[in-house]
Amino acid sequence: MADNSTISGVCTSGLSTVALELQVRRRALDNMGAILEDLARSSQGRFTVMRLGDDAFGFRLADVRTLVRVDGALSIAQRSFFLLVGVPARWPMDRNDALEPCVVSPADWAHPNASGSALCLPLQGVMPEELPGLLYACVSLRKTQLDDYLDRSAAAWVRAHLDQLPTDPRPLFPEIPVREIPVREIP
Amino acid sequence: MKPLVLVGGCGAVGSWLIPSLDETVALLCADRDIIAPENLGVAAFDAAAHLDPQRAQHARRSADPQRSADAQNAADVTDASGASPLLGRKKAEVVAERHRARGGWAYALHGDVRYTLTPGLASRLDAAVVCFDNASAFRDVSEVLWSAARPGIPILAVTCGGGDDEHWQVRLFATGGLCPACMQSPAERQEGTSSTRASCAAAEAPRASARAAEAAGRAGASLLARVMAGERSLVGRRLQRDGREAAPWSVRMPEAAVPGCPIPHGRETWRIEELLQGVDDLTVGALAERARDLAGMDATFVLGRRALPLAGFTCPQCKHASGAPELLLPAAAALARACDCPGVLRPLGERRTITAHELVGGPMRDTSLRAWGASPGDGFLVTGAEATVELRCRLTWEELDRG
Repeated sequence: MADNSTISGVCTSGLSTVALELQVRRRALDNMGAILEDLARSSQGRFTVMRLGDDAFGFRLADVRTLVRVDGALSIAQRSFFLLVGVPARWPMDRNDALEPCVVSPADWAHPNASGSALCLPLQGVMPEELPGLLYACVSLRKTQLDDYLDRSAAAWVRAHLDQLPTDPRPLFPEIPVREIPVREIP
Repeated sequence: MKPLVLVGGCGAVGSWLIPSLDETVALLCADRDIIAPENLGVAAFDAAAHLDPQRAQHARRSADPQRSADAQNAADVTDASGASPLLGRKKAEVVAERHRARGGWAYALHGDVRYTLTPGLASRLDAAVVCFDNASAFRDVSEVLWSAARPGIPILAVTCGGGDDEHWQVRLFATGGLCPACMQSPAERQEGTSSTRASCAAAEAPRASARAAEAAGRAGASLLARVMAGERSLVGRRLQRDGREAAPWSVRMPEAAVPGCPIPHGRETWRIEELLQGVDDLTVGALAERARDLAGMDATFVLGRRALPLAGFTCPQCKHASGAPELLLPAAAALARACDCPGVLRPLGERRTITAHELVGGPMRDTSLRAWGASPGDGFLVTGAEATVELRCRLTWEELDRG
């Protein structure tokens, strides 16, 4: 018979549901943090991640060419981003409680699906491995939703400049060339 | 002793419901909004309608039968210059004042019910009527009532149609059984879960008409009186009228809680530690120390749907960013505001758990719980290695007066 009194080494016997859910959430956050840190190391400094307690992760995306609004005019410029990905109360117990991204800086960033810091980027069912790529796709305007939008002028700009998208064509994870290892015949 | 009834939502439907209630009923009037020009034509905030609703309505209709009820109601509450002295006043306070003017007993809870309706208040209720226009408030109220109110008290959810057709619907629940959140769709349950969530497909609730709101308010008051008089067979039913000429009909709702409903429905019990001090006397540091005594040194406050801001606020209108004091969201937003824009500041992130260790050593250590954003009778769920316990502050009616 399976022993259901432990979850990944955490003793659950006698715990209330609240305590148990908090344990599960912290364990899931630990796992997610470890995966994201591994990915950050392979990005050659393009992005870094930090855990903010039990409630959020901070992502720093360095030197991304993106759409900005300066003096009311939209143009492409290079900016470094700090994004906050909030972890809702019932994550990961409730699938509907998906991670919630928002852009803390830069303040002059523009995107059809963003308004100020608010960013409409549904992250339901997104695995930690996919998260940095999705955020990067958003800030480099690879990913836009033009049927519904929060920023009308940014949506119009995107429609008129499809040939300039994505604003940053570089991949987030630079391809590391695989070094050929010479094969030596064993006599 | 007067029965204590919560009226959640004092706008269109709630403002019509309250004057239809017996003045012997003691009321807790909860609403977060202030009166805006668009409310005047729909809600019954005018004194005449409240003091004698039937006479006022008859007078309005007989004066000019061609005018719509909306227009006439709006005319009642504006002075010669077109401005109303009610504009900008808190809805909860206005309707509570009107009830007191009739000789009744009423308190106003101005603010988000997620923060103002506390377990201490819920445990004293004899009934509740919720007339909110958003799914999030229905869920917030259900969460408190189904965890802290006495089992079996009647809860009425009253809504009205958007047109002028006097369409209304009243669902009658009893705490412990099926709840309003059981009847919500997954999307409705997610509404208001987070202040930081953004969606490109923003929607606005349809506006009620005065006639529909009035009909719903009167139906709600009449059904509440019947249930409180002992007509318990109404509980578990949805009563509905589909138009002015149509007869009301009823349908039985599911008997038990719906699987997947996020409301606990009595599945979980934990020890409730009644504190001897109220929110004005107790400091955040003292509360955290008590939490560590009871739950262990790793005690963590689990705030549920309440939250503290994380990384600051932005104004949705002018996009101005400001820092966030370590207070519960509404209190923090009130202090952080640095612009004159209308509307609520948006937190960049939210904290739904905080350790007792952080609070004991944090800058809010000596802040009173009231200043921290707690309300009289508030409860805080704490979990740690030794126990899960709810710390519940003392509630006195004088504390509500001071708020």
